[in-house]
Amino acid sequence: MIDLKKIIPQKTVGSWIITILMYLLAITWLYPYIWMVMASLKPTPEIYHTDLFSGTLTMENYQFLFDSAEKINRPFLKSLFNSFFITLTVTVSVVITSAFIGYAMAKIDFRGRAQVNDFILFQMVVPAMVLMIPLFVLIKQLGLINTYSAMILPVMMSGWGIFMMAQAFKGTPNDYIDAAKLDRASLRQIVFNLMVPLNKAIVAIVALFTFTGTWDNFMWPLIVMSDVEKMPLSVLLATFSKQYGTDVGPVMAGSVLQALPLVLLFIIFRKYFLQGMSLSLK
Amino acid sequence: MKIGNINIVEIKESQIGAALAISFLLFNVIFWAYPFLWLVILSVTEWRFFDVPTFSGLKNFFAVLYDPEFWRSLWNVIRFLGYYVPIVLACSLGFAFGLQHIGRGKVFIALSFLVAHISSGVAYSLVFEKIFSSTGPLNTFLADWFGFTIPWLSSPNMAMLSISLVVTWKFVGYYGLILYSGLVAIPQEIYDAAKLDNTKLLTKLFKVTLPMINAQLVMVLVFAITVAFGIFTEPYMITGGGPMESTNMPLLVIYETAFNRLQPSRAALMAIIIAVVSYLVIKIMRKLLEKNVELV
Amino acid sequence: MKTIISIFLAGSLLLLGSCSESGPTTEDATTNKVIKLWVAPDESQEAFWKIVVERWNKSGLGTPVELKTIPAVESSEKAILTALVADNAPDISTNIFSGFSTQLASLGQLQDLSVMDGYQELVSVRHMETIMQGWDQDGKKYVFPLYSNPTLIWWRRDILQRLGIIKIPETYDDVYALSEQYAASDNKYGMQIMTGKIWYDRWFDFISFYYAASNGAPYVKDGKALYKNEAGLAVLTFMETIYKNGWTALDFESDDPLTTGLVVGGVRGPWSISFFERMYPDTLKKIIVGPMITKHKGDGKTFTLADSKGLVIFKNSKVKEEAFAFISWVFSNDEISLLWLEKTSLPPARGDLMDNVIFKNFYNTHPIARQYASYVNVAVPSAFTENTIDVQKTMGFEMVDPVKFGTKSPEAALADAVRRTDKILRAEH
Repeated sequence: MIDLKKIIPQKTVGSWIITILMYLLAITWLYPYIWMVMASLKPTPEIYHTDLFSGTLTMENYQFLFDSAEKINRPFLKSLFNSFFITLTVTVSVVITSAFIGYAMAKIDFRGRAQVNDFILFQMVVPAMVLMIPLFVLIKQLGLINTYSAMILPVMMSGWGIFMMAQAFKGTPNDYIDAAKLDRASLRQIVFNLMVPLNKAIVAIVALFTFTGTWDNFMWPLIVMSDVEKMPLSVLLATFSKQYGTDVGPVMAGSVLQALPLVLLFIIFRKYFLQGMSLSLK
Repeated sequence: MKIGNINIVEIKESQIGAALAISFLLFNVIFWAYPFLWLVILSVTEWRFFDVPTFSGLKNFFAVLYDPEFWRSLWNVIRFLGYYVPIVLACSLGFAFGLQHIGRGKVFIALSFLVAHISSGVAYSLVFEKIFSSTGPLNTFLADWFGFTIPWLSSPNMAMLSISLVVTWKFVGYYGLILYSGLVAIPQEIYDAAKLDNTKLLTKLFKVTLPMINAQLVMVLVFAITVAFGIFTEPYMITGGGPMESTNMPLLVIYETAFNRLQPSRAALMAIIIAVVSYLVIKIMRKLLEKNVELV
Repeated sequence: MKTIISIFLAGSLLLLGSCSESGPTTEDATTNKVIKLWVAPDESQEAFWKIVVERWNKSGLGTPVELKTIPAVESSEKAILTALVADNAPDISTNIFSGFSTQLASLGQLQDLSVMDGYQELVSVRHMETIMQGWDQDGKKYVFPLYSNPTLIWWRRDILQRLGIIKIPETYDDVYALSEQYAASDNKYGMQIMTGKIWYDRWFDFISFYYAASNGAPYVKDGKALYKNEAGLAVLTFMETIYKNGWTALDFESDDPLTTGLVVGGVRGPWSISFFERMYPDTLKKIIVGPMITKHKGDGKTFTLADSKGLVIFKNSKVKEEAFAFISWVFSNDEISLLWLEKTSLPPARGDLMDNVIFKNFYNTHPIARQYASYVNVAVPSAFTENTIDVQKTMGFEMVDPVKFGTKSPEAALADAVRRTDKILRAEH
């Protein structure tokens, strides 16, 4: 009986049409990426006037980005480094703090745990943008405007990350932890050698979303960072395009640089990502 | 001996737990509670970056009240939702159903849609700005095949639709997966029962399927409303809030009020209003739509 | 417990590490005295300042100058503001327009230049007495204007010739006639009358046209909008006519439409000269410059907008006197004045532009720059109001855009915009 149900919908004409349709839609969804990559490889005058896959292919747009950086005061390579530095620091910090505090919230009984949990939930409801202006005041008072710290410190811990990890860690049987404790495992060992490997998917989700969110963050660095030398790529690219918008080729090359790390990361970790997604949706 | 040992470990552990929680709370005292305090202070004072805030009572309130641009931006949120919610719901439902019924390549298709979600706002905004431009590939295609073009970004009536299409592109994969997780959880028996009743497809959709994924639908709607109130990068990059302020969203107004008009206190008050309104909208939506579906 | 400590340690190390990064740079500035100068993010202006600063530092005449381009992320104004807030502002900054100087002055960030040593001499050397009156802010002079860019209209001479037009268009009717002729051909328009959709674009459309129509009468003064008059109406009716007939596109976003010949003419400033020299030298050869257009060409030169920028010294600077000494040196030197012109083509803000011998040679060989220079005395700066953005946004939203899209009549649009602007200005004062 069960087998039949599973097989029947696959063999109908309808399901074939749906499959083909879905493939077409998937291509449509990928089109902006494809267009971006192709445009970044063509000389600007040809971009609007040649078919997608025709025209001269060249690396000159990328060359332009890296060479004329000094001349137009747009150090793309440096900003790429800045983006990686900021994003990796934040991601590592969020993953580690979320793992430890998440473990505490899930598996350690301490006074006030329920209240902390309530606070985390409340904090997740308040949209971050409300605090943008007063956070700017704080950063000004700390004397951190135009520093990396302005973009790193306020997001080094994440209530969401703690919440996600705690939810996942709760599902890990206590027996494992007890066994580890009997082996005199330290807290660090329990978290790193037991909880994290057992909940790889959720750790990956927290890491990926933190990475993407930080890499993609635009409004905050736009507010606190006016120094091109410490600017993340997102802001540098935006300002470059505001000033040289008609130069479509280099702008698209810059967009590829900005989008590529995220896409690569996504493709590499796609398995964990899909697993984690279905976990987080439960 | 053994019991005593465990006891010691537990005391120690609960201290560690508390210490971890305290580190988190300390962090939030600095980067959350303190700004929160400042938010309240700013909203009733006049502060202009270099001076000490001076109490100004309701002055900010009246300034915001009589700021037509701010209220237009709130109206624009509603216009955005008017386009975005139907389009993104239809697309994500279609995506979820499609995903449920395809034979091969489920993972490839899910990933193709999700890769849009894992994308950089600045990058894809630039791409769509070019794709939607009056001489861009989309209009070239339309002109070649149908002999007309559409002023995607230059007409005040079209620009918001274009922005919502861009945001739809980004979120369909994610919302679709949420709905999909609801769809696969519906027990087959319920469909079988409907089949026995000879229910029409559309009736089945509205009477059986949608109510069964009510929780996921509400979740998607909450996300959609949050996006509508918090959108910044797309209008900032693609339209700059124009034409005719038709895509001028609250965050753009807040940003400009603080850093171009140099009125951060007013901007802080605007942020409070936006947060309260978005909270109320979500609350009302949940009240209206949320049902507790009981599996019979 | 050890792990907790190590986490805290790691955290605080990170904190320390990231805090210290801003330390050394600020300390440097106080120990070795140096004047920090920020200049406009513009290739030709940067080239000028590079030479000048190098000369100054070599000469040993005063405190050395450290040159930097304004790190303009989205705008110079934002970059300067951030720097002021972050307490790492320069001592001198160029590229300050009237509205921004009003804002900065009200934030108490600017130094009154008229009390500085050598101010009178500098002003008289450059014959700037009348010009400085235009920059008076409550009896103080916060800005030293560097250049005054009149807006004028560039026409494609070759297209005009092809259309059989000999006289440069000067009136609305001239533009209507040529638009009708040129727009009849496939996908062409007559004139680009709007430059963009951002608030500052109003300088180059409505305000420029308004000054031309009103002989330079102010559009905002003493907290009131003043453009609800015949001149304002004439400009809007002109815009309406152009849009209604499809003689201009809703936007020209891809390439400069002058280079593609999509339009015959458009409003441009002198900064376009060096830009075209670099990017479109062939088009530049076909350009002929005419005055702003009006309903009826009067006697004498047609008024226009001066997109004028100047430099300021910040109040918190520790080297104010030294900074002003540097400025005086730069701007009282004839050779450097000529160098400015050669590098930037921007008309220096001085009263003797047309009769000073040092510029004669340059202007004889640069006809377009000469045209701009000859309009400096009928070019009026934009309004001194702290609410520039709101004033010009209202112009766009209530007036220019509705007329463009045909949703309001010029009369109604004008009335709405003025009413709204008055309300905003009243609320502020």
